[in-house]
Amino acid sequence: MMAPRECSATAGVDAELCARLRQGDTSAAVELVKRDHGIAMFFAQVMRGYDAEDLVSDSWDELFAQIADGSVTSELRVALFNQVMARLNPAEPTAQQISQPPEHTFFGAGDRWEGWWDRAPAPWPDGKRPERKQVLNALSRLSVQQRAALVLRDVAGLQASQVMEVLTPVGEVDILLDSAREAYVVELDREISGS
Amino acid sequence: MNASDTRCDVVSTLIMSWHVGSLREQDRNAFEQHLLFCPPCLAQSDKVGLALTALAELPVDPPPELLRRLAERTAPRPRGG
Repeated sequence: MMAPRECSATAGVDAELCARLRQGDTSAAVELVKRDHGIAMFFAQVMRGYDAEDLVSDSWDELFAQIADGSVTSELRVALFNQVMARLNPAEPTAQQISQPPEHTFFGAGDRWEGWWDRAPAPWPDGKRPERKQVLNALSRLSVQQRAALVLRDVAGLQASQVMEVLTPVGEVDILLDSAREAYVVELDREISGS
Repeated sequence: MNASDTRCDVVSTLIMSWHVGSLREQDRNAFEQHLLFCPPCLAQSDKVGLALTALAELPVDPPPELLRRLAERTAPRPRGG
């Protein structure tokens, strides 16, 4: 009988999880799904614009099949995101990109207060924390690539190289991420301030 | 960047870098000193912090049905049968 292939290109915690899964350890399955399901769901929902339970469930099935046959070549979280991305239909309508620059400004050249706030940003009400719906609304107004980069990096904690792997082809991840973070804060501010 | 010559338009471009920990130490010191005497920049920085924190708090727990199904799929199948 042929020996099962190892989980190649995975390391550390993922290598151990992968090995346990291949040995039939059901607690490893629970551990992995508890670890990564929430962020995969959130990613799919942000990218798709509506609930994505079915899509993520199918992605898990494919990932478990890959683990079983030893064909996983990335960290498990990255491999899961690759499956989700493969199932997102680019033809599906997504929210339009309408993110606009912030409205606050600074005093201009020649003014004695040059570079200082002209129209200062209003603070959020004391103790105000963004609600899930407000965050989703704000994200929906970013471009698809901005949304993806922001969630993969700042929510899922992927490295820049891993973001590139999931989003291929994509340009400079750091530049994309900078623009995504700025636009997200502007849009969330609009959501909360009601402007 | 020195704290004495930091303007709000410069500081506002550094807020995100400060929150994600990518600001150089020298700029970080000037940035933090500026926030001490500039309420508008401090308010803007607080917003960014809350916005990024909100992102990290969004994931949800997996449904029990999915957990059960994938655990069953992982369990070794009995031989024969």
